[in-house]
Formats: sequence, structure tokens, C-alpha cells
Amino acid sequence: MNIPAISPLLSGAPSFGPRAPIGAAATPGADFGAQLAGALREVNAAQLNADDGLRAMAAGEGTDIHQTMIGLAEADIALRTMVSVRDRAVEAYQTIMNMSI
Amino acid sequence: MGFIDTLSITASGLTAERVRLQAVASNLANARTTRGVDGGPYVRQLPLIESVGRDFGTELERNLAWAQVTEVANATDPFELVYDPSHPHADDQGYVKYPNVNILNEMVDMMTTARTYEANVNAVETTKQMAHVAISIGRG
Repeated sequence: MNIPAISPLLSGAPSFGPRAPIGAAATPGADFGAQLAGALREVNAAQLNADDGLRAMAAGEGTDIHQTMIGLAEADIALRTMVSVRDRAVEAYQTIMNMSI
Repeated sequence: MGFIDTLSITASGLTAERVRLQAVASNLANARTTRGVDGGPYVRQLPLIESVGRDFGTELERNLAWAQVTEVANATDPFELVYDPSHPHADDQGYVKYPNVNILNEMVDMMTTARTYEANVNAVETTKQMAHVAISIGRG
């Protein structure tokens, strides 16, 4: 029986469960920019993976159709999540910038 | 476990069903093949699917697993013996051994394979929908 280690509760950065949403390297204490860059790299990797799948399918290599399609779906979910986070970040920034002092 | 892991589980199921369909296709194509690679008649191929455990992160998810075809085995049913002395592949007593493939069984296997594949594709659709709904929480 394999019991995974319990993740520490108070490790600094807020965590949303045992793993980061898109598998990003959520290092405790890292700033938002670094976290966003890590997430971006993950999204990019998913896109490249989907791209590879499409290329392999177009080249007639013996890949499964569903593997390619699931790669596309993964890339889509990752991109939408990233865009949603970006929208919220920009919105918060604009709210603060428009604040009258 | 994120939505990506859910998709990977479903992908393993889809791959397993694809291999099952391949086995059915091979069995149907060789339903009357009297000479195989080892000199005997074709032997019905049976994919063995096993669950492969993977640590998906939390204690609750430790029993979740991928499906994986670990082996495509020879079925052990007896061959069909047909008396046909004029057949070039007949033995000394005039009997020809035909494969242990039952077309009706293969058709049923094909239908269950197709339906299981469809069910897995539905799981992909549902996972995508849930992810999209989850993302829409974040929209202002």
C-alpha cells in the first residue's frame, strides 16, 4: 500500500490542494510572477504536446486518434485556465490603477 | 487529481478498447485461417486488460488506476475439426483444423468494445465540460 506524504499546511504560499492546478511547480514563497511563468511553461508544454500529436497523426505515424484529441483537450483546458487567471490579474491591476487617491 | 489526470485515465481506457477491437478484427479476418505462423491453425487472440495503479496524489485516490493491455494471449478453446480429405491442410485422418474463433462471440465482443469506447469518449466530454464550468467560476 502506498501512502503519499501529507503536504505541510503552513508552508507560506497559499496552495489549492496537494497539487497545483496545471501541475505547475508551486514553490513555497515564490512570487506571483514566477508562479505565472511556471504555469505559462506548463501551458506551452501542453500546446507543444498537442502539436506533436497532430504532426504525428498528419505524418501517418501509428498514433491513436484519441491520444491526439485528448492532448488537444488538455492543451485547451490549460490555455483557458491560464487566460482566465490572466484576465483576473489584469482586472485587479486595472481596478487598482483606476483607484482615486 | 486534476482534470488532466482524469483525461489520462480515460485515455488509457480508450487505448485498451482500441487494442480489443484490433484483436476482434484479427480474429474475424482469420476466422477460417487453417495455417498460422507456427504451422497450426490461427489461434483466437484474447487481450488481457489489467489495472495499473498510479499515485494520483491523495489518500482517497490511491485505488484509482489506469487500464492497460498487458498481454494478448492465445485462447485455449479447442479447434474445430472438419472432415475434408481433399483439403491440402488435412491431417493423416483427413481432418482439417479450423480456428477456435466463434464469429458470434466476436460480434458481441465488437459491440461491447464499441459501446465501452463510446462511454469513455463521453467521460472525456464530461471532463471537458466540468473543466470549462470550473474555469467560468473565475470569470468576473
